[in-house]
Amino acid sequence: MPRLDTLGLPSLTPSVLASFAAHGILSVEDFLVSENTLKLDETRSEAQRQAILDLVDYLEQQSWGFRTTWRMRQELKARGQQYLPTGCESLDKLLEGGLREGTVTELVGGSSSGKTQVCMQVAANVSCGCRAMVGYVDTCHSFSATRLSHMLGGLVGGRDASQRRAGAADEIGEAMKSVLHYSIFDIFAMLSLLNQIHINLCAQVQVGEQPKTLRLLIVDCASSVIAPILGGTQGHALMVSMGIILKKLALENHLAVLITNHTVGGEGGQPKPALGETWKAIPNVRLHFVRDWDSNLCHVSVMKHATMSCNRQTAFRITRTGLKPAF
Amino acid sequence: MDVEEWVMGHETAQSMLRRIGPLTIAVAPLVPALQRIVNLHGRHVLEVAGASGSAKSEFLLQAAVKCVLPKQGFGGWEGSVVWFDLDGHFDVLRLERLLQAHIHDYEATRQRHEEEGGEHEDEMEDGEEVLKACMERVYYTRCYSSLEFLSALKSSRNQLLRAQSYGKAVRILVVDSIAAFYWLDRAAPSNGGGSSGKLGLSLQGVMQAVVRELKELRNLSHPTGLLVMVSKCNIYSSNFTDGNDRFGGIQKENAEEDSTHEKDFKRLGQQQREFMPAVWQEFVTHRLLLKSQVADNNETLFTAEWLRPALLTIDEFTVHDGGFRLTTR
Repeated sequence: MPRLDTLGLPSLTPSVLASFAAHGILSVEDFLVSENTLKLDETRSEAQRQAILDLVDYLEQQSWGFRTTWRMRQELKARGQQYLPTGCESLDKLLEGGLREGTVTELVGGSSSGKTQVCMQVAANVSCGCRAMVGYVDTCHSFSATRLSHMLGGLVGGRDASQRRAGAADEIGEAMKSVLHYSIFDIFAMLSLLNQIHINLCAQVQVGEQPKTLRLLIVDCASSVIAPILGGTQGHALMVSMGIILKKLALENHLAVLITNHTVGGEGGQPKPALGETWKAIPNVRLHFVRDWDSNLCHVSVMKHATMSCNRQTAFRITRTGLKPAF
Repeated sequence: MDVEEWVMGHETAQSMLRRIGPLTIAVAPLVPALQRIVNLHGRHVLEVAGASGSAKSEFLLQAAVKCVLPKQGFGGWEGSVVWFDLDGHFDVLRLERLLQAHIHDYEATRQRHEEEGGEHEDEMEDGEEVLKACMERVYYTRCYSSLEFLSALKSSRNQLLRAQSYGKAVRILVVDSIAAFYWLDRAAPSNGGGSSGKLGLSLQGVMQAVVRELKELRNLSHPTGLLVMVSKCNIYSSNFTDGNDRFGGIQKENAEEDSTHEKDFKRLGQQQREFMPAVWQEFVTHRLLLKSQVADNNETLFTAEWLRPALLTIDEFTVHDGGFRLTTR
């Protein structure tokens, strides 16, 4: 944070600055953390009091600021659509419309329980149905462009190229172009990518070729870059940093963020989400996936949700052209 | 000063009660689970602890709703709330839905009252107007790091003064959740921050500064004071919560025989998990522990237990659209 003498506030005269410096307060950071800051009592001179008040005003301008919740509600109403449909009927029903913009949704499940299939289905549906850009961060080589094109084919209609109506191939191509795929294999590259996306979105830099907006960010799978670094303060700090930047992307850039997490053995052999207690607080919504191999159904249950009761369930079937409701 | 005057003391208990009484009463039944602590007032700091998904944010939201609702007809405090969102879980639509539920209840009772031939006392307020007024009294800010949090705390001074000038003083300050940047602050070098001889941005230094700012803000809100309510999510996993959730049914059966022993055991477990610096722990005056478990009918059941002051009773409640509902056992 900047030094006090570089702020250019008129009330920070050399004499006031000197009196602050005598208390060891040289920068804005010192002003925030220092013990001697700076009660507005009678011992202060008029100039010092004014300087402190001006500094508080400066902080208010620099920070996110205070908003009334009424204003937030009006902004939310003005922005319009909030839910991105997943393209899987039973999931949309479970989530009352789909993935919500401004939230982080986490899919938890063991290996091959259907998490990546859902990620790709949502990517297909948002790129095709909502005509928006999708960021797909792939950390374990599980993304398949062929599979995505099959799913897009299912959305556009027709099982094979011969059955499709005219123009369908263009539509598929157009949608494929709006899915941006990133291969990332460690936490530092991940943090730098996510921060870069945030900065680009804030500066309204166009992503990709078309003038479309990025509305969905998928990280599949988030836990595989975090799990190796856990075990110690530094590792946890990196994990929290990644959680914070994901939330920032959701809240400040109005993205729907979809991440996946694997499971580890908990007490009594019961599988539980990996990454521990701290990570639990980061997603807004958490869905649990279990695959039943006899019936080939994926069972989904709500583990955590901000606005609706948990323990509700649904199921879907994975087919060539996408995810279909089980019933 | 003559001897008699000196012996008499500064004031009688009755005059003191008359002086401070109006400031401390009627604060209690914010949220059903709070009803056991009747004297919560503007110099208290309530910490709501619990694992993720134990309705901590919901609890704080209910208190905020109670605080902003009008006195007339709704039984609120008609005050303002400052909300510091540190983990990004605040949902403005949920706040709206809660307020709507209260307004609907109010309108329904008014209608029933009129149908029964009651007097039409005064102009019925428009629901939308009430909603707008209430939502305009909740000031919200969002922070992504401890420095942002500290600078928001500093600048909330202006917000408090502004609310006071409207005649709707800030009565509750909410921090959700206080441990959001715990790992980041712990990882920061403890003597960093450039200048020598200071705690800088270590966990200790940040929490000291936070407590100092909160005290300052409380002094600013004289005479009503400022009720500080924070949530604290568990950082460390516990053997207790998970085990209790799964064997909740079995525990309930044995509850009568060894409840005291078991509770002491559990409380000990809770204390061992306390991770915040001492300066924060000393600042907290009340602590409530929330837990969630799955009941038989597939509904999520929440429990609230007072750890400070330690009470032996545990309240059970469920969460509905209109708020918390206590379940009677």
